[in-house]
Amino acid sequence: MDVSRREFLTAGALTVFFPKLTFSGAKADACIVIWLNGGASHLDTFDLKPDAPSEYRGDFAPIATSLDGCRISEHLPRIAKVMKKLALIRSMTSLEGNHDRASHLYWTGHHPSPALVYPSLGSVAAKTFGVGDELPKYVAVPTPPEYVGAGYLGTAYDPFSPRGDFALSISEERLKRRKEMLESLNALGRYEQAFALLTSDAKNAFDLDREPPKMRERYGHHTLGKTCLLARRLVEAGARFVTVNDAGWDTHDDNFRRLKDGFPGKLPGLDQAFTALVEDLDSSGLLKKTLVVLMSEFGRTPKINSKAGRDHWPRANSVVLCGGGTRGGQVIGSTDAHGELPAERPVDPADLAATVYTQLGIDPKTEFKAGARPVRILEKGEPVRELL
Amino acid sequence: MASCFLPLADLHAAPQEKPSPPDFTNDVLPVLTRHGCNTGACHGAALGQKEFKLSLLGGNPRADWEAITREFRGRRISRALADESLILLKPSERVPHKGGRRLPTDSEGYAILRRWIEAGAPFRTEKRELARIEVAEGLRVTAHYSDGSARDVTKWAVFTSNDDAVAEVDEHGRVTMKLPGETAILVRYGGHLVAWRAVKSHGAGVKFERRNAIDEHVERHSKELGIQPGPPCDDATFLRRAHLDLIGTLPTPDEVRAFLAKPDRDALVDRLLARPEFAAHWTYRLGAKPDRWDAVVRGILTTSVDFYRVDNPETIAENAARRFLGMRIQCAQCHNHPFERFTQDDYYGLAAFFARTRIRNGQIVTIDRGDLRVPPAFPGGVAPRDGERRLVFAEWVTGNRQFARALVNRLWAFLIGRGLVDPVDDFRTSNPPSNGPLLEDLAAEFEKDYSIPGILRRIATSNAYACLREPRLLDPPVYLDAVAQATGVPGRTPIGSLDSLATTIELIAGPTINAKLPKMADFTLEEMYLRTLSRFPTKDEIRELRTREEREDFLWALLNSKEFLYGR
Repeated sequence: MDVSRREFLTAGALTVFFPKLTFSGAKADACIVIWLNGGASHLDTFDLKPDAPSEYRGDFAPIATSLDGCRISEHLPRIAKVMKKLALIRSMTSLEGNHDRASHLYWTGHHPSPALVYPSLGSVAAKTFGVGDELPKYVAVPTPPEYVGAGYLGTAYDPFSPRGDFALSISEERLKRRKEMLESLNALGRYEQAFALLTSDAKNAFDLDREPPKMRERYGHHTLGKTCLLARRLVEAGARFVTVNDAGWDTHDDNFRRLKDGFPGKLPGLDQAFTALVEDLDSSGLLKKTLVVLMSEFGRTPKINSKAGRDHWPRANSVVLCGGGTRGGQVIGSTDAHGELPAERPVDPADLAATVYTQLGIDPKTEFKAGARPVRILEKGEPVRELL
Repeated sequence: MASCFLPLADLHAAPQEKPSPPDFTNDVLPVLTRHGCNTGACHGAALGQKEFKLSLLGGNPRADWEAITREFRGRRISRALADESLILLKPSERVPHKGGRRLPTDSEGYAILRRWIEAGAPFRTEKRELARIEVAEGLRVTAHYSDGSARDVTKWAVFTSNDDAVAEVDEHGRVTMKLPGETAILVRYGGHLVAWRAVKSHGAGVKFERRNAIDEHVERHSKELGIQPGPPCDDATFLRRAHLDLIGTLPTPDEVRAFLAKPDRDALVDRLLARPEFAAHWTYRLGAKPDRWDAVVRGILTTSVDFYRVDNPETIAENAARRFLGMRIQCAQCHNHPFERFTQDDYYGLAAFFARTRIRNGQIVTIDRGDLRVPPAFPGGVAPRDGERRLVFAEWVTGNRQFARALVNRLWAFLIGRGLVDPVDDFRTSNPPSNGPLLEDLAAEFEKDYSIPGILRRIATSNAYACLREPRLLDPPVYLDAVAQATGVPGRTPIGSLDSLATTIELIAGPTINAKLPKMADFTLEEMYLRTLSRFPTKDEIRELRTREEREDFLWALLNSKEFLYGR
C-alpha cells in the first residue's frame, strides 16, 4: 500500500471513532445581542426556585409558558407565550464575579489577559464580513457596553454608535466637493464610509419616525423598546451584528422592586421589547436568519442579602437564544435546588461564543494577527450541540 | 510509624538532594507550581476544583499546607501508605483526574511529595526563606536564601514568553529566538517573578546623532535591536509638533514665518516652556498644576477637598497607585498579583492608610477609628512611621523611585507617542520598559528637583524627539482648540475620539466645524495652510478657490486631513 493511501485510510478510521464537528457554514446572516448590563438575576427571570426557602426564592412566582414543563417569572408573561420559539440555557457558568472580567468573558470568549485585549464577537464579525460601505455592519445601541470593542484587531472594527441624527446643514453638492477636496489631500479612510452613509438611504435605518406608530407602541416608548426596534431595522438594512445595551440590572439592593416597578420596570420593559422583537422578526421572515441572544455577565446570589438585594453570582446564569438556525422550544441544562451551581450540562461562556460564531459561519479556529502573532479568536469552547 | 527503608527513588537522588525531610514551602510547593496545579484554570481558581483549593501560583504556602494536610478530614495524604495518598493518586492518574497526568510515578516531583508524606507531611523543616531568584543565560535559575545559601532551581521554575513570535521558551528554560525583536521571558519560582530580556537584532547598522544622554540610550538600544531610527523631521514639522506637545496650541502664521526664517529648535523649546499656555495645558494633561511635582502630589493625597467622592479605602489606594505609581494593583485584592511581586497583604496594607478617611459634608476628614484586616504597611510588610496616615502614605509615594518613573514615562508618552512602559499605568515585572536604562536615567534626573519643564526640555531638545514618533491622533479637546484657533472662531462643541465613525460623521455633518466656517475671515490659500498645517503650500498644492463657499469647503478639508488630525 503506498503511503498516501495508508494515510487516507487512517484518517478515515479516526473520523469514525472520533466524530468531530466539521465546520459547515452560516445559518444566520446577522446576530442581535441584548445585553442585560449588570448581571440579571437568573432566579427572578428564567430559573425560579419556588420550592426553595424564602431567603432564597424571593418575591416572584413562576408561571407556565408555551413550552411544556418550563416555567419562568410571572413578570415575563409575554415572553412566556413565545417560549416555544426560544432556547433557554439555565446552566451557564463561570468563575468571573467581577463586572469587567465577566463582561470580557461573555463578549470575547476569553478571560482578560494583561498580554492581549481580545476582540468581541461583533468585532470578529466586522473583521470577517467587513465594516460596510454605507451602513456600518457592526452597531451598538444606544451606547457600547464595555468589551464590545475590537481589541487587537484595531479600532476600525469597533462598533458604530450613532450620536444624534444625520441631518445635513449644507447641500449635497458642497458635500461632494468637500469629499473631493479631502481626497486630493489624502486617502479618505473612514471618511469614505461616513460620506456614503450621510448621502445614502442607509441612514434612514436609524430613523424610528419612519415606523408606523402601532409598531413603536408594540415595542414600547422606552429605551429598550426603541433600541430593539432599531436593531430590527438595522438587521433589515443589512447590519450583521447589533448589540442592544440595557442598563440597570446590577440589583445589589432592593432587587424585587427594581425589577418589577418603574417606568417601566426592568422585567416589564424586557418582556415587552424582547417579545416584540422576536415576533416582529418572525412575522417578517427574518428570524430564521437572525440569531437573537439575550445574555448578561453573571446571575445573582441565590441567598438574598440584608438589603433585599442579590449580589454577583457567576456560577449560575441564564441565557436565551432564538432564530439564526438554532433549535427553539427547549431548555438546556439546569441548576441545583437553590440555583447555586449547574446540576447538569454546564455551559461555559466560551461555548456560547463558539455557538454564535458557528451560526454566523465563522470558524472558531480562525486566526487573526495581533501584531506579528496569529491568535485564535477562541482558544477553547465548543458550540452547544443541542442548539444546532 | 516511620518507614525503616528509604524509598527506591532516593537511592537515585541527585547529589544535591538534602538528607532532611522536604520543606513544604521550599521543596514541595514548587513542585505543585511547576506542574500547573495552582494556576487560575485549575486548583488556583477562586473556588478551586472539586472542593480542592490552592492559593494562586503558590502565594499562600500556609493555607496550601492546611488544605492538603488538614482539609477533607486529612484524606488527601496517607502517611502509612504514601502512594495511596489522594494527593499522589490524582496527579499520577491512578484515579481519574480532570487535570490529567501531572506527576508520573517515576517523576522527581512525585518522589519529593512521597518523601514529604512519609516524613509526616511537615510544614517547615528548615528556617531559610527564599530571598530572591537570579536568572542567567541558559536559562539558569538560582534561588538565593535568607541564610546566604543558594541552589539551582531551573527544573522547578515556570517559564513563559511574552511574545512567542519573537522568542519561545520550553519547560526547561531553553530560549529559541524566532523573529527579530525583543521580548521578555518570565521566570517564576517560589512566588518571585523575574523578566529576562531576549533580543534578536534586525541586522541594520545604526547611525544616530547624540545631542544629550537620552540620545545615547536611544542609540545603544537601536544598535541592540538593529533598527535605524528615521531621520529628523523638517523645521515646519518640528515647530507644529513642539507647539502641540508642549502648549497644546498651533503656531500662528507669523510664528511659522519667523521660525522657518531662523529655525533655532532649542530656543523654540525654551520659549514654549515659558509661555503662559504651558501651565494650563499640562494641568489638563496631568490633572494638576505642573509645579514641583512631589509637593503637588502630596497635596492631592492629603487634601480635605472631596474631589473624588470616594471613601472606600481600597478604591482610593487603587486610584493612587494607578495615577501616581503607574501600577494596577486591583488584581491583588483577591490573591497575590499574578503578574507582579505584590501580595494580597501588600494590597490591604496600602488600602489601610485610608481606612479612617471619611467624607463629611463634602470634606475629607480623618477619624480615629476603623481598620482593615491588616494595619497600614508598605509592600513587603514594611511598617510606616508614626503620623497622620495619609501624609505618611503621600511621603512614601512621592519619595519612591517608582513615582519618578511613572511620571517621566507619561511625559515620554505625551511627547513621543508611546511610553517606554506601555500602557503608562501598567508597570509590572511582566511588562518591562522598552528601554530600561533610559527610563532609570530620566527618573533619576527627575528626582533631583521634580521639575516637569526640566524633563520636557531634555526630551524636546534630544535628537530622539525629532526622529522617533508614533503617529497619534490629537486628543479631542486639543483638536477642538486647534479648530477654533485655525478658523479664528472660538468655542467648542464636544466630540468623541477622533478614531470613531460617529465622530467623523459629526465633523462632516454636525456643528463642530460647520458652525464656524461662515463666521471666519476670508483667508488666502497660503494663509489657510499656515493656519492649519503650520507650513507653506508646495508648488503642487497651489489651487484656485474662486468662491467663498469653495474656500470654506477647502478649509474644512484641511481641518479633516490626516496631517491636521495627527499631531505627527
